[in-house]
Amino acid sequence: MNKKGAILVVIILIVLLLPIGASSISGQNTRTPIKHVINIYFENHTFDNYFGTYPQSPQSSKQDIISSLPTPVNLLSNVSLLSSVRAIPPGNFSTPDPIEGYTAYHTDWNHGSMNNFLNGSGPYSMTYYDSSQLGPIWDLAEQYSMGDMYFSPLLSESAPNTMYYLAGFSPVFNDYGPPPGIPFSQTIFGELSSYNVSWGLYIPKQSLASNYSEWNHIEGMNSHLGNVGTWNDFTSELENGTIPSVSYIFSQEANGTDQAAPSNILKGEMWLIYLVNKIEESPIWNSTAIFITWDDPGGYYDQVSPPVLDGIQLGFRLPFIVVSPFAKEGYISNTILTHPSILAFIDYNWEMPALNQFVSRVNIPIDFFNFHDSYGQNGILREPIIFNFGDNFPVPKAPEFTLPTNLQSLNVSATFPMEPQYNLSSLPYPKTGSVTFNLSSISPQVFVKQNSVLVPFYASYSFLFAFILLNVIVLSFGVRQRWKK
Amino acid sequence: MAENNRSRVVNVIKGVLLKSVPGSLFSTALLLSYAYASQLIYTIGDVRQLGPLFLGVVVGAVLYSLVGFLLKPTYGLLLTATVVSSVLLTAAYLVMVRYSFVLDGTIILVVTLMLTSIYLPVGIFLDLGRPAHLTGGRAILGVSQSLLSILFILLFSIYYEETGQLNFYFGPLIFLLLSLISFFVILAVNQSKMPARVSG
Repeated sequence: MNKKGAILVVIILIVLLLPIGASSISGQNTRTPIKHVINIYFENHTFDNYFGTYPQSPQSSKQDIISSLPTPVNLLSNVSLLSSVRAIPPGNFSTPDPIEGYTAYHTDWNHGSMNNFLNGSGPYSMTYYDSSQLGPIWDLAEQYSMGDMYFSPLLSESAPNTMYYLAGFSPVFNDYGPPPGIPFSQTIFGELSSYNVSWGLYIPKQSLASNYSEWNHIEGMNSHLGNVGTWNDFTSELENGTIPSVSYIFSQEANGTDQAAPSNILKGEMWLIYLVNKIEESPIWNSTAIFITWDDPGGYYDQVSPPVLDGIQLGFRLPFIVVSPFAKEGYISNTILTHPSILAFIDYNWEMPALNQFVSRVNIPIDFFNFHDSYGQNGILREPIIFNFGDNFPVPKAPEFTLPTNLQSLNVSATFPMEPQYNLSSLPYPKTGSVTFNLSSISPQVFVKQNSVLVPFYASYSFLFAFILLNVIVLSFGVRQRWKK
Repeated sequence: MAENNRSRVVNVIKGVLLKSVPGSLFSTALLLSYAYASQLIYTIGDVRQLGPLFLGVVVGAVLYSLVGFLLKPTYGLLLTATVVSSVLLTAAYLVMVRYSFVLDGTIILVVTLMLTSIYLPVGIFLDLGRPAHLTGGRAILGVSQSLLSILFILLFSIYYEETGQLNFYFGPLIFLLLSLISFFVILAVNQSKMPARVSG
């Protein structure tokens, strides 16, 4: 090989290796101190259904703490509504399933009037839980941050909202499918893979062998089963500190852990507290953000008329809690958010382009974090809080467990409120706030230029049309033959 | 007299097999294809919608099938019926769009009554070659077509529900395949009855 040829080979090698180097760098760089994002996903509750009377807990002896907590936009902000809805009595941890679906939710919504729930989702929609059932989840909101303007992406049920959760886009508008599907490359997993950001997806053990419904709209997911593990795998990786940068933990298809009615919501609540404790005890705690949310409203009442965002009519508000050593204590964010806001945070944090146009235009939940101000002499990082409520609320010892039999004896309301980690009156930031900050304000670049809908050939309209035409031709021929006789 | 009656019964049975069965398969396939194409099927998710949905299907199917088989079939009538059905299908779609695909009981009833107009041209089309039956016999063919079609839709609905409301795109295709097979059977029967050509 002559000198010119050798130089050419070296140049070609550099050009070929350059993107690999660049993407591996982007896989390690983060804009914030957060190196691990953990997404925990439940089902079927609205904000008012879970936080309708937060932080009021009349039975509590710690009214001084309660009075220093901020109140979100909930039923307490609109007291006349409290007479229209009913509290689920203490000792009860479930309701029959309200009527769900695209039609029911649109009927509830009534073009934004939010006054037709009885005709849409029916009488069970007009109920709400309080500290008697949700003390520990309220504690998470009190100790960390909560959003009161987090909306489901669509006025519909699980499948389309989950697609927005994973891909910022949905090819379906109700719980049907597959098909159509969306390609793996256009999901957050596809983007993370191409930018060398490690990711994992964790599901219940019994679902591992089956076709897990949460991703059955994603074409090509089965080629990435190496990234899929069980809840036990998740906790083992936590203990070893080998957890991937981005984790998705699904509570679905595990005998009621997902909290969807008519399940006993204590199951999911105990599972959640167990997971949060494990994460706080793990070596990755200091660089972690946990985003906890629910997939869709489940037919329950909410009072806030959802806005239109980038031409898309959002659905009802959902609970949204952020747990992190950087999460502001007792903070309530009024920022308008939706499932793709979590995708936007991931893209922002790992310096990736917005997954798609919608993701580029939703707000990023950045105001939940305090990356700058220290808590007196204690610095910015918050020490882990291990949630232990004794006999009032037994925290399970493993992610797969059965509920205790003596639920009536639990005093769940006694678990709320907890002593704040820092004095609520001397926090270095306001207790509420909002921000308008999205990826399009940083860069116009998007990862997926055009969202794709994958419809198999047999289900395409052109194929059906051709087939109907063939039927008509054959039938016409038969009629003609008969006519001739 | 008895021979005549037996001949009529045989004729009606033949009519049911050669017209009502393929007609019901074909119209079911068309109806389900249109339900997917117009997205009507995705708007059904509430048990309270099922009453008006099936009421519309039953009334529409019986009514249009009867009319389709009772009218004297001509190509002109077939063209008119096809145009009428197309207009009603378009109107049904516009109604769904008007209500943002949120269909209460009354709207579902109206929409399904419009969609089942597909049975009208299918009935005329199938009767086009040989209106061989008397009025009573043709009425039986029409009712048979509609009842079989309602049965097929019911079977589809049960399977659709039992499989978790999956996008059962293959449903319309199965009915199209079956109708294609039945049309080939009609062709074969007709061919076998054709007089042999005499050459020379």
